Amino acid sequence: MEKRAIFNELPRPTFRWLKVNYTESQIEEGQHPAMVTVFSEEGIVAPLGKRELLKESFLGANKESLEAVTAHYTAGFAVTVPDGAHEKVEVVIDADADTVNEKTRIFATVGENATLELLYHLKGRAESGNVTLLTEVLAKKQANVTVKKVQLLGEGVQQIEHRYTKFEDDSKVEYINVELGGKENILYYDEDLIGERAELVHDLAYLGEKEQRFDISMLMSHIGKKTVSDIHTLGALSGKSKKAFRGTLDFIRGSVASEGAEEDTCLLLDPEVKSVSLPLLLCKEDNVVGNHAASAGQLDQTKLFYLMSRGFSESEAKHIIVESMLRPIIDRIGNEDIEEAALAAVRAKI
Amino acid sequence: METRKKTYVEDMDRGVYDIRNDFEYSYKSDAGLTEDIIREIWENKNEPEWMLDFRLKSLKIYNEMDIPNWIPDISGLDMSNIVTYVKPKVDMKGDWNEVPEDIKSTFDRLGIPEAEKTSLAGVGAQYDSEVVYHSIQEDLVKQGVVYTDIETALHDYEDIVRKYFMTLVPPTDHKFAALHGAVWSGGSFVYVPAGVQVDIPLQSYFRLNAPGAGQFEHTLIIVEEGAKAHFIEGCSAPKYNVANLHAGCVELFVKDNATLRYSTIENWSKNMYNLNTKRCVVGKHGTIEWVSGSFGSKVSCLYPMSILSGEGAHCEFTGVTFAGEGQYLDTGSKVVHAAPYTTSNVNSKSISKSGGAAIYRGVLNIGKKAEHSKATVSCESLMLDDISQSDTIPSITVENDNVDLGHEAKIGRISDEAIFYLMTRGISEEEARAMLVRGFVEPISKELPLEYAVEMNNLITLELEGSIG
Amino acid sequence: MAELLRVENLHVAVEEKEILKGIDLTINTGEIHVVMGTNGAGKSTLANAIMGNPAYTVTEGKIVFDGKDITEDAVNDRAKAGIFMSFQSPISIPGITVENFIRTAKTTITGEQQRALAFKKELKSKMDELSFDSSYAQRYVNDGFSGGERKKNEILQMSILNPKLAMLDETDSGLDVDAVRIVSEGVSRFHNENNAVLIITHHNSILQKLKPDFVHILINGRIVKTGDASLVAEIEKQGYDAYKALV
Repeated sequence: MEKRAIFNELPRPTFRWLKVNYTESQIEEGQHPAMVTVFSEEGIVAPLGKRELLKESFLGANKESLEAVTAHYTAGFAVTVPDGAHEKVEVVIDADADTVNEKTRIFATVGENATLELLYHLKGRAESGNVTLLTEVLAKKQANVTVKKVQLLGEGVQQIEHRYTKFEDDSKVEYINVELGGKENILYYDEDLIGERAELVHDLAYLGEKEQRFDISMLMSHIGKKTVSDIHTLGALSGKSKKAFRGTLDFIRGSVASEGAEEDTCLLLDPEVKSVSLPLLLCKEDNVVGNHAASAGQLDQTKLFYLMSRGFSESEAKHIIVESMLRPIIDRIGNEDIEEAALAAVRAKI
Repeated sequence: METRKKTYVEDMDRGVYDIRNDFEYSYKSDAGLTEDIIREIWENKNEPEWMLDFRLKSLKIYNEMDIPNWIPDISGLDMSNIVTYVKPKVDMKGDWNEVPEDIKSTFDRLGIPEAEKTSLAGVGAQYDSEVVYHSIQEDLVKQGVVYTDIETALHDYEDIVRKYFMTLVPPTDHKFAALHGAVWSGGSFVYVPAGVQVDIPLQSYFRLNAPGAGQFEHTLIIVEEGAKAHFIEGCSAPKYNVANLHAGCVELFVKDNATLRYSTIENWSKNMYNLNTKRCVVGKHGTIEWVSGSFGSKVSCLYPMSILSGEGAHCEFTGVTFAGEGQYLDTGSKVVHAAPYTTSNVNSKSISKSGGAAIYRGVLNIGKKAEHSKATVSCESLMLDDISQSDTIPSITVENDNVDLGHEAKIGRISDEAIFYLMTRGISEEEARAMLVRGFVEPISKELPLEYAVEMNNLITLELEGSIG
Repeated sequence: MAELLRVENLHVAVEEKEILKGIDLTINTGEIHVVMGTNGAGKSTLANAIMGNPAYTVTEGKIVFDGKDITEDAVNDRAKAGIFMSFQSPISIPGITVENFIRTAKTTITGEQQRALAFKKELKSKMDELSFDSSYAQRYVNDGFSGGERKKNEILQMSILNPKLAMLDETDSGLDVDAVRIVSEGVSRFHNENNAVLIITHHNSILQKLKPDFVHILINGRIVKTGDASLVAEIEKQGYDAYKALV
């Protein structure tokens, strides 16, 4: 089938023959909305209604997909944490029909000095279709936000995620992703570190097998002074799976004394995998520290040897190494049932 | 309010580069690009028939292709105003004394004849569109080494030239490669037969004197099996108020077990659009070493490419880019691992100041066949003030599971801590900054031939500006 | 014996936090002084303030060196005047060789061009004295050096730059027994009646070789006690607790 739509476009294009400036694909079609359940204290979550985007110029992973989920979501909620409050919200998106067509939109406003822990759990038996998720986060002064996401969708489902975060002074945001399911996962994160001393930490773990695709785009715009971002994608590819990472650290002029680091680590387990990495570093401010690193490679042979000398077979030893790599991120989910489900998925895959 | 002293690194003293001669020539084409102009160039150069076809085909491709969307702004370049061919008033000589005085004195000031006596095995000197001087040591000739201008090679070694010419960089590669194919003139041809070791460098110097002209030299180097050579390329031009264009093309063929080192010091004037293409294909256990210094030009797009096509082939890239006021230097390196056990190391440093933009753009592709490959990339950028720009745009693709790859990049300014440490040893702040900038590029300058290294260090003279808020 | 350094009522702040709260200290030529004290007492701050580190702000008091008020002087002018500081953790400077670095420093401080061969010879002999492999002269300053090698490099610079006042900031910390011996021998060789040494330490390994004339105990930004070498043994036995009461 012809794939024409453009996803995850690089903010600064490079050589065209590489065919890495964007990913071509199409939005998959499906039939039934998922069952979306939200757990929270009373008064925190309300129906979203009609709402403009938090940032008008937000591009998202793809224009058409973003427009659809913005205006025609199948489930939409406003999460509002008042100043000084501490709240936990859990959103379970269960694609429980054969073919899914889900568009969930969450708009989170986290007040001054407030704390929000938002947990997404994507799962379900659906074997085809699309799950789209749009999250907008407004982190007000000194707000503390954590968004944890465990994605265990069926292996025929396409997932598109758009996320935008606006940081005010002294806000801290931590994102954790455990991406295991889905056929094609297109993830787009746009972070505007506007307030002074705003901080972002984003750790994303993935595990690809068969024909799975992970297309990850992250854009960290350092606008305010003394802003900090630290992102790390970490994963393993087996079978014919593919990963593309587009990370852009952008130091805008005036983002004095900011620091940013991005790292992309990919473990390659089979000869037919493909890993693409574009860790961009754009800088118009001299008083900053920017670092990026990308690495790709096979399993550490010494580790493998060590484990095999203890009696494990080669494949068992590989399992242990991959699991031990993803485990620290999974352990941070903080919900035992979901952690168990994620670990079970990891074990089933490798 | 925080006040911090800013480093002010002076613009490079361009002194000798900027001395321009009166514009004299024996033939020049009309400005712009038409089939007639191309026929004229071809006739004037007395080339074989197939080259006319090649040129016309390239022109057609040029007209059909668009300008890449990712390159810097080159709207200051009006192709209809560029003179593509300027034949100097002299034919090529083998003796400096026969070269007209004004042209000779240009090369004297650049130190070329002097270097020839002391440290070079062969010299080529191009003035505008044609090579005006060429020499090579006698014993190399006896071993079968050919080092001449490419026009001569096109007649004397037509088969070899025809076999390789623009096969590595075809006119279809990009718009400016097509332009090159259509209007190329001048350049060097080097052929090193199997097993011959040329330990002393060969050097070609390209000088563009004519205002509003383009230089389109073609460099073709073939290093046969087990042979070894070192080629140095220097480029400069005086500054004019009109845009000049350099769209050269370098094709390097390094055969099995052969080694080539290709060093470039580019110091074009700041009205120059430098859209240059360099590419090398390396055979089994062969090595290409690039050493590249980019200092001049208004806009540069330069990404030497290494295609490691033979098992165990190796690439080493060392580059430094220094962007000052009004400069947008988009440079980098491309490495393609296409065979097993291939290795590459890329080490790039850039400095930007006074509003200049230094961009590192890189490609590292490790293909399906390139099992057991190893690659490392390291990019460091130094910003000397807060009005400049420094970007790193790498692309890394891996398509097999048996590789070892590491990429690292960092960006920053001179640390206050380092300045303090040097000052506690009595060194003034300005000198401390200068030392740290020199130290930053030292890993590169030590790879350069001595006279260039000394020059580069001289170029980094520092001056302290008062406190800026 | 002449007065070399006089610190009067010195108050120093780092990022607006006051660390030194009124230090008085006089050092004469020919003397070895030791400043001891707990972690965070302000020992390194004292050395950095005397050296003129811009990260340390003198809020009150003054520093007089060789009869001249240097409180406002730039770091390199103080170095030229004859003050040297051996850093607790010297930074590395990739791209600049040890030889080139020290030669440049020596040229600036003395105002005399250092002749290449003579300088090489001097450097080699000083390196030999410190059992410092002379191939390190061609390596980048502290780049890939071990902790001990960095400290040796500091003492090497001291012996070549030949300052009037050498301040050793925790030069003995993190060194093994042999390295401490080599470093203290280096300081002994350097010390004479025309210069002075200020040693900052929180243990006494370096003091077994170097006999201090004065020992100052610095607690919470103030010198709470000054005595002779016997104080070192006392602290060894009792620790600092007894002195904390003096704050």
